[in-house]
Amino acid sequence: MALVTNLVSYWKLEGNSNDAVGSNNGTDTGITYSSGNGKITQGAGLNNASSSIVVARNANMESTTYSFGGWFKPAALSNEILLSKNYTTSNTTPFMSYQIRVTSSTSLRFDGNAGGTYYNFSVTTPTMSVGTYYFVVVTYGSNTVTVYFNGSSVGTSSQSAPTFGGNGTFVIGNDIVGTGMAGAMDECFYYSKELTSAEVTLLYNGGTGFQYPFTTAYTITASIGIFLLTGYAAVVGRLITLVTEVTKFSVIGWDTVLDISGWFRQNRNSASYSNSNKNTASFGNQSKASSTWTNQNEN
Amino acid sequence: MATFNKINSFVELLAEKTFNLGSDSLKVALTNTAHTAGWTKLSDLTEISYTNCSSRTITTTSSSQTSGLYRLILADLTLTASGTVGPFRYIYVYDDTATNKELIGYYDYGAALTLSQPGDTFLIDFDNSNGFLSIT
Repeated sequence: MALVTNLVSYWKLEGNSNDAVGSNNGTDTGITYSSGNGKITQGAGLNNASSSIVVARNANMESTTYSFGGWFKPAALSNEILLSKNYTTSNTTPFMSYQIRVTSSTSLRFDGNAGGTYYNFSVTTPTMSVGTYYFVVVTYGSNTVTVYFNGSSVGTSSQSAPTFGGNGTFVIGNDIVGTGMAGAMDECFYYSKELTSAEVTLLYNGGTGFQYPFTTAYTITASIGIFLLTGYAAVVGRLITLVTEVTKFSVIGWDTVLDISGWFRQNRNSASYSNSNKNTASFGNQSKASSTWTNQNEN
Repeated sequence: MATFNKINSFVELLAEKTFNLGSDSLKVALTNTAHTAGWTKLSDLTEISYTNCSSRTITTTSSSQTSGLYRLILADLTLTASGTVGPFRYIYVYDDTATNKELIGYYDYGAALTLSQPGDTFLIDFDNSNGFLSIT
């Protein structure tokens, strides 16, 4: 569903009527380009019969299956020629191969030429107002003309293939007999194929329009990824080991000599001890030579 | 601005010399499947078809440090469609040189996106001053 496939010509109408795709440039008469006249950027302002953008006949715009269309902003809603492919140079019916026009605030009319036989059919549209941009597309394929308004089909008609010849010009905002259009045109195109409804929807783009080359630029703004390399503090120094001794305390009791005749209290003074006399026969009469023992009374 | 989402395994693999960010080729991978913890490599992703997508290779502008601050600067990458590309939502950056094409990080566009027309572009606008990533 590439919108550039079989796209023969596209007129952005930004300051001129050059063909952005091929070489079917237009010739302007009484055209005012401005942003006020534009749907996308600038558009072409037209003033009825005195204005037209004429593209010379070119075989690459005479496919038997085709689509054409564009955005239009009417300044009147009576008989406004939007786009036309001409057949003769005189006002002799049929003087067009095909064309689309506004005929009232709620109708468009398609005029065609099938094998030299003129035909037309009208379609009903939602109510249009002056000063508002609308999107119209006409497609032809499988013997059916389909008219789209603002992206939706508003009518079809079974018809034979168009007939080309004679003058053969493709005109934006007018026809060969100078019916003209009051208002503005913008973003017009011609395909050598029948656009699908999905493609028409894409071109309508929800009412915003979609300008050739029909590309969309998307952007993602990428933020930085920040990585912190963290070093943790390390304790650096001489290793000192504190050795704690377990001190064992003992209660050392001196031997106690127990005399069978009584208690004897030993003195730690070995000198005294050595001098002690143990009279086992009679503890009570024990003689204690040592002064240590002198005052000792033990029973 | 789309936030950089780190792949956790990246930091370990970086420390264990899986990557050489100064010389490896980095690429972008596109997927419409939300990230799952534990994804570490390209084969973990369900990638979209790149048939209509231009080159996804990222040009490394510089890989250097100043005063202990390392920056990996990448050039902006524009993907151009020659047909339908997508839908996709997540944009991964991975190391195409590394053995398992390990993932580095990803961005979330915020919504599924399809490049539907030939010529549609998707610009990944990296931070050309601060870099794609920094290590300090």
